[in-house]
Amino acid sequence: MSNLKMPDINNILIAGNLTSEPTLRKTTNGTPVANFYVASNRQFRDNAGHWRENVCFVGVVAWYKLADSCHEYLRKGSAVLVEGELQSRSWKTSDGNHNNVVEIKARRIQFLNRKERTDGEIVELMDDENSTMNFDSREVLSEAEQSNADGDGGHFEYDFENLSLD
Amino acid sequence: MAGKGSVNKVIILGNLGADPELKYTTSGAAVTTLSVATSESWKDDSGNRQERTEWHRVVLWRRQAEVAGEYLKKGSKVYFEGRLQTRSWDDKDGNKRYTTEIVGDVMTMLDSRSEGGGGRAPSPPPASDAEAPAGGEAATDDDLPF
Repeated sequence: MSNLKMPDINNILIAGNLTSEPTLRKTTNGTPVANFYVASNRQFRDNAGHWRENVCFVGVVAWYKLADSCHEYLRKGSAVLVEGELQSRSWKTSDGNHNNVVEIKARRIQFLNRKERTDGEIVELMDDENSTMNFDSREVLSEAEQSNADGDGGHFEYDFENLSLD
Repeated sequence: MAGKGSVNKVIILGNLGADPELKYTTSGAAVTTLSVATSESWKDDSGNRQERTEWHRVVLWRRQAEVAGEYLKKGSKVYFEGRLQTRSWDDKDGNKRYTTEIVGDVMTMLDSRSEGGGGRAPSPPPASDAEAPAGGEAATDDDLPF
């Protein structure tokens, strides 16, 4: 395998719930960008055999049409399946320490909840016997609303300095 | 160890930025933290080749940590699967700091044995005094400020 031209891989797939509303901003040249945090729970057995839980909190950044879709459809608590790549940013804090944050640049975000509009009304599937709002990704995954980035696979400098409120 | 009812999967293929440093917890478990670079390159609008490198912190435990410590070197090409984990720790000034890292559960070494770490060695990761101590499993899971 060492004589093959193997590309590097940087992929993440994670399911979780939003810890707050997504924020939508635009860069100075008008590109929409959405940010939110996802909490992903993990249950595991500790050495004594007891079930325990820990939570992974990770930031997600979405660009372009995907950003607009996140703003339109996602709320605090919404369940999502995020596919993307890991990227990190670091900066120096006021007390001289370096801080580093790892976040996901989303390529695809699958909305796992039933469609719900901004006014809170569930607008579809009302005649479906199974149309309960469901946060369990295992049950709704196959029917989930899907949103694809129309990105061109381009590369963006992610720089908060250049972001301004929409 | 497998969790239940959740999806959290990271796949990384890249090169080590430094030799692995094998450590042992007080209970005797082997642990090593690796710095892995993934690079991608593309041609920009004017046809110039651009390259961008991301650095990932990968934690390995027990036997895998020992294997990594024995066989991997700076520049080694490695494939990892794992999960993303966040945890907090207290720095020397007593401040709470947060670290996001990949806890590896599958590792495949992609260099031929003779080649060793002869792969293309990335330049070392950016200096940071925010290096969190090893000890991923003891992560606390509350009071993240989000």
